[in-house]
Amino acid sequence: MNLNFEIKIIFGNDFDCLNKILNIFCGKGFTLESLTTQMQYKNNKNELKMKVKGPQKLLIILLKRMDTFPDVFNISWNKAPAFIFNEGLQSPLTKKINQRKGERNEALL
Amino acid sequence: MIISKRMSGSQIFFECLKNEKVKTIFGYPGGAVLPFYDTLYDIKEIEHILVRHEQGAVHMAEGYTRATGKTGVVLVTSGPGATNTVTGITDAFMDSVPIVIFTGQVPKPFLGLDSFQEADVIGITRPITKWNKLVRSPQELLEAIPKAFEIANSGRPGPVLIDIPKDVALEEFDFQGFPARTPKAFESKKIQIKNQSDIFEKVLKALEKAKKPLLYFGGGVIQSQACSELKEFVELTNIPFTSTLQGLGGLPGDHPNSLGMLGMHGTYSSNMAIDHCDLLIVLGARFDDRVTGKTSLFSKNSYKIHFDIDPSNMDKTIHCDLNVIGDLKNNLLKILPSLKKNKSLKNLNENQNQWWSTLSDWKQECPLKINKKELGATLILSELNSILKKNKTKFSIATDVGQNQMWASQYIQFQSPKTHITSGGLGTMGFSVPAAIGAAFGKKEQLNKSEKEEIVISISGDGGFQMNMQELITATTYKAPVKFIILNNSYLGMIRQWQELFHKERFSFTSLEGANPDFCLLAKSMGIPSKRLDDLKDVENSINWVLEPGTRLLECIIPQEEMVFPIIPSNSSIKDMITERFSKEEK
Ligand SMILES: Cc1ncc(C[n+]2csc(CCOP(=O)(O)OP(=O)(O)O)c2C)c(N)n1
Repeated sequence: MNLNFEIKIIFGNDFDCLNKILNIFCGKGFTLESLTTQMQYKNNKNELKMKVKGPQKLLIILLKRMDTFPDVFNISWNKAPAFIFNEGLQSPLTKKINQRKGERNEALL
Repeated sequence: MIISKRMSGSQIFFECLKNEKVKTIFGYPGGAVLPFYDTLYDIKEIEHILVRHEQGAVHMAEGYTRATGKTGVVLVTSGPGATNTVTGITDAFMDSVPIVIFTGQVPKPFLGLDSFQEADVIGITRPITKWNKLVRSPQELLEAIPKAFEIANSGRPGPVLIDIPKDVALEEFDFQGFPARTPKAFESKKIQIKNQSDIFEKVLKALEKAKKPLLYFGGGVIQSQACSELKEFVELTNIPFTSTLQGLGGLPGDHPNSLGMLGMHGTYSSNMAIDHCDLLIVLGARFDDRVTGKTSLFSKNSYKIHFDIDPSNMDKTIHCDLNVIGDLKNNLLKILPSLKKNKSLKNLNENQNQWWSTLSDWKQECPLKINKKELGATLILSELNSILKKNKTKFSIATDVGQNQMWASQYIQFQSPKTHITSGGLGTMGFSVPAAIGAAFGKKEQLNKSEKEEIVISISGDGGFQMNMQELITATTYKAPVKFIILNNSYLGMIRQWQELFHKERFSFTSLEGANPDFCLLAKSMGIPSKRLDDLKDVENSINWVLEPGTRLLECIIPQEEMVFPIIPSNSSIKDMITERFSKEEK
């Protein structure tokens, strides 16, 4: 069964690492609902927030695998809506606008 | 005072390799790696093996690593050189083989311009490496290379790739020595188990209670060098064991507690034991689908304890009651003392009496069969096994993929770790020829002057042999004394077997009859003495001949109809096991 999840990942600040993280979801039946990244200036790391839809069991396996990547420092996730994201970032408004525009796959960068 | 020395990126590169104690590299030159080859021209401490195809280089590095435990190193050029390594890298990734691949890249200013021999190697290899990196300056090499070796060997091992633009290799800078190794982010990722003693107590309790315990281990036992601890564990508990394909050799194949291999082509007794046990202890294995068959029916009634280093293997396909994440050797070392102290374990032997008699019934009910009436694979390989055993020969065998691989795993009793080298996860045809050559280089490097050279054998089918046979000339050039054995059934045998069993004998595009090269002539053209075994009477002589010193090739003619038994069809369970050819009526 496909469920909605919110995922937060702290990772090294380069494209390679971001790509490796995103790559793991490719071709495995996940839908991307939204994605934002932001610099955490105080520790010079990046923060990725994602909403995805897909099977829970596979998601857990993939997140565990991702946790072994050298440049991934922290992963938290929950079934949506779980508010593991900071306030505002997953505001219903943003979601509604995107849905209205039919831009479900647009990355909110 | 810091003394600095002006050095180029390629000089730094080799300094870094020497610092990692690299003695052998497998490679193939090209435009983007010319600076490295120029530097290598003057280097005496590292032997470069010139292969004939970059896929061969990676499989050789895998064979070298799997035979010695040392990290294999590959150096290839950009573009086609790099893309040719992809199958090998994926193979190493699937079987957790620590190798480091260095690829040349177009100079930085040419990146992204569709330049000659430019390929996005980082993008291509991202999902098949543990880590990969495009290095942008010679200074970066100083950090990236030690990190590459460390990541390849840490946690669950695997391949790492470093992509080096040509201008980085040429650029000069003032080398002031290697930076001190500081704990890196990835080192802090070492897995920690909470409540460790609690977990180990649970393991002991489960063992005390068990009436029908079984141990199933995989390649993780060999990789964490836990074989002697495992042996002690088995002998203290007298627990029967079965091994995966990659685990073979982890414990001696003729150990009295051995039930042989489990899974699709595993023994009847192993698979029955899996089905009936009440406690299943799984060590360094990942419940591969070739092992479990239909997961919902896999060892339904047992209490399962899973030891593995990779957290993502836990509960991946089979739910276990207790998961112990961490290095297997460390964990076994922690359990053994309590096991020795634990008096109630003495009862375990008594508890198990009934279980052992059932196991021996299963062994007798359906043993592995040897057809002595005609020249075939079961006879040839069991004879090879007897001769090796009789002569107390130390040997390593690299097998290819298909029937030859399964027969070898069934009929050869691997006695020690790192002696069975095969492509399990990816199932890469063409693996055995280069892997055996790589293993031979590794063994030679490790040989003490007083020791007798260990025999390295490559076993392939006629199909897979042709996928990397270009490397025969590499064996000849470097005098790698590999014994190449081809089991020639003039078919893509394993696929033919499935067509016979599951596709109504519609042998679509699997016949190689009249379409194979003359393997003996081929060997001759590569400077390798060869012999064809096509008579039942010559089996022993031919095997003795091929085991004589030097590189040799033995082509064995076997019937196309010979099949690997037993077989549990995929996604099925033990009750669907086929143990011999159907008669026409049964079909
Ligand atoms: C590179 C690659 N291509 C295709 C396959 C699929 N495949 C698996 S076994 C097999 C037949 C192998 O035939 P052969 O090498 O003659 O060995 P045999 O089974 O006869 O021992 C094939 C085609 C594979 N495993 N690897």
